[in-house]
Amino acid sequence: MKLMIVDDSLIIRNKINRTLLSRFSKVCRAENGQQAIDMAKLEHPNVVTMDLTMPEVDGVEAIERIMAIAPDTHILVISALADKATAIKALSLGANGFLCKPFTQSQLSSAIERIIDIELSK
Amino acid sequence: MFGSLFGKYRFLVISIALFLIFDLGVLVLNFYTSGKIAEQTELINSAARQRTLTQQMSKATLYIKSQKLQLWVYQSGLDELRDHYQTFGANLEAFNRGGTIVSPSTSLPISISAVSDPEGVAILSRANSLWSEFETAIDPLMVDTLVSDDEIRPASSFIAANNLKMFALMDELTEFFKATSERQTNFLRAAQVVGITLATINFFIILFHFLGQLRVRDQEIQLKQHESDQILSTINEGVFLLDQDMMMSGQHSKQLQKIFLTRKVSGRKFERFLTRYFPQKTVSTALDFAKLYFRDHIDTALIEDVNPLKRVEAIITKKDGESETKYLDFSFALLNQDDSRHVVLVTVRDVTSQIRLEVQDRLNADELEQQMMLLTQILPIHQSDLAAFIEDSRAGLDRINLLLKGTKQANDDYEITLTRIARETHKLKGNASVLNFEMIAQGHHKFENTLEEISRQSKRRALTGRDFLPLTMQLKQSFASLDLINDVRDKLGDYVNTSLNQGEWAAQANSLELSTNESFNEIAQQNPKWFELLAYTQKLAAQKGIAARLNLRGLNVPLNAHLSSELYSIAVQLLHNSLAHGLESERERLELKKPSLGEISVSISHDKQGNYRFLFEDDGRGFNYERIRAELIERGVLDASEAKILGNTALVRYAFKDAISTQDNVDQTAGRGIGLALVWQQVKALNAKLKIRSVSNEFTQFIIDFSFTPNKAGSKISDVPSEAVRLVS
Repeated sequence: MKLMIVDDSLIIRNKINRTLLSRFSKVCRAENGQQAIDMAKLEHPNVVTMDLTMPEVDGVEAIERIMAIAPDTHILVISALADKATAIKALSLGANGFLCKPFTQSQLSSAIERIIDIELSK
Repeated sequence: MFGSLFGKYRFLVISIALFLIFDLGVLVLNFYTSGKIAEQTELINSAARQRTLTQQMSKATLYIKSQKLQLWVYQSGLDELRDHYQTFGANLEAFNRGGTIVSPSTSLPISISAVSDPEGVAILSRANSLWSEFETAIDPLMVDTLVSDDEIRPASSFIAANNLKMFALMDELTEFFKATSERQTNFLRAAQVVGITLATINFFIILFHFLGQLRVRDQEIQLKQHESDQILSTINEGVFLLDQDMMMSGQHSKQLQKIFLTRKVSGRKFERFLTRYFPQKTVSTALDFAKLYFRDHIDTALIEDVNPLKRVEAIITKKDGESETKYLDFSFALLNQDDSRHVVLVTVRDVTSQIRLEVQDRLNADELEQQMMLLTQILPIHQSDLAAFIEDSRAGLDRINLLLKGTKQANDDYEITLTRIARETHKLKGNASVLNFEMIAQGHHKFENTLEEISRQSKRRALTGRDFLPLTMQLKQSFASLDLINDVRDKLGDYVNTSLNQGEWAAQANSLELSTNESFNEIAQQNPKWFELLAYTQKLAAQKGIAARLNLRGLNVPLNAHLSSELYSIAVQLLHNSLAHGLESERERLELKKPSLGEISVSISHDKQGNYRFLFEDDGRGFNYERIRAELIERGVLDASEAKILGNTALVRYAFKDAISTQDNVDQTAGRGIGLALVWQQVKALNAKLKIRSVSNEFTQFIIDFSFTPNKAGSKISDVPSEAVRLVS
């Protein structure tokens, strides 16, 4: 199972990577929405962690375009709660769940566990 | 299979099937029996015709016998006999063995079964045996040739003799068929009665069964309704169901009405309901959020964080039209109904008191933090100083308050009011700074910022009382801070008195290189407030990056509290002035060949006649006349030509009269130019004389002379007329 981490912060990318590395056979990383879209076309990740506020293409647009390419992708939005309306829009466009920044490793693990359960029960 | 197929409707299906079977059975029986009765009717008619044929054969025989001389008549009679004879025989044969006969009523061929009933068979048996005798007698006549009278006679005699017997047998056969038909009719009637009765009984069974079931169901529904009503009326939260079309359910908890102070809840559109209490943006976000619960791809456990109705502020209009602010917490849970449709259970909790408690807790924590900060600031202060500070500050705030109250009546003296308030505030700030009350000093500094902003506005437009409102709010805070200090002081009690003993004062004084004529302990005991100026000077000098030392002399002279407080306040303002404008930096002083340490001196002396002198001096750069001149031009007080010809004394008078500062930057201690104006105000209030001596790059002296009789109760200052500032250079 492949994971794609999308976040413009290196610290956050590293933290997610450290927490989830053992659960996935392959982990790829993207710094913005455009990279995420390009990488989704190449790598076909099963699970994606997606930040919302990013340069160039933001998370909401990235989710919309990734869902158009691969509707089976499971997406966990990881973002600060500055704008709930944007987070809700991301969820209505196909993301499966939301995790609020800052988050602990156990919160991230249990959220991803739920997302993987959906993936496995397909 | 059917059990599982029909489920709870099995009984109904079986009952209806039985009903149909009963009705169908009666119908089939009716059809069958009707056929039989029709056949029987044909048999009755046929038997009756046999009876007629018997008579007609007899008649034809007699006719042949009497008319035999006329050939054509004879032949016709013979043909008739033959015809009747053959018909009778064929019919009798059909009765015996079954076969086709011509229907007497329709003249159409019909098929009949052989008579099988023993009674019928017995009648036919007798009829057959008699008929065989008829055949024997009549057969000789069944030829194509003419028959003789001899041949006719025996036949005629036989028919005449047995005609009635055969008639009676056929009559008996007819009655037999009639009886059989009647039996079948009775059977049919009985079968119909039984069938209809069974169907009716079945109908009533169905009826009563379902009425019973309906009654039980109704009772169950009523019970459930009652139970859910009871639950919903006692539940402590607002609860309702939300369907996929965003419609609120008919049933809801009573608490929901109490929370929103309305009965209009049932069956409403969620959007319209929310619109009454929340801003449009919140409503649309909330609707989008609620719709997520009906989306298959969403893991509802992972979206609670984005709930926009979590601890949200609602404006609820009461019956009397007034608005009430409540804090509400909506939570959503997806429910699966029997028919696999989804609904969302929405729970609303009123968390107003919880949130208010949290806010209060935070405020208490802030207050505690403030108290702790104050505590650290209060502990080193002598209690008498603290009491004096509180008293002075309260009096000052009261005066500002009075001035602010004056702004509520429209007048043209707002500028004057602003100046007075500024002076009072500056004095308060100075006192707070000396005692190291950073928090209070900062508060006064902010107050001064607001004053300056109002002053700037006054240059653009005419002021109104409303412009002073921010000051009123800040003044309230200042009063509150003062109350807080008072509270902390009360709580500390005597501890403050003992917190710093004489040894500690001495240690502090040594570190400050105190230079004084009097016994240090004497000053520290009698005038701890003045003594603290030593530390304050060090602190302020360090902030400004200069080296300075304060020398105190003659502070053990007898002065009353008011005079002491006023002189102290003047000393603080002049100290600020010296440190801000007077004393040079170490580098500057070295370049000027001056000692690197700047000296400031404050002394009070008196003669036996009660003439007092307050002297404040520093060995700094003296007055910067050019700077004052430039400032006066810049402010538009003087034009350039006037300023140029103005002497130094006049310039210094302006510096005292108008708020002029020669410092470029404003900080908490100086820069606004209010300090000297305040000093001048206080000198006037004391009816004292102010003299100023200043030599450029040498020194500045402020001399305040006044009269005072310390032993006279209530006396403060002798009646010495005030003079203008006199500059001695």
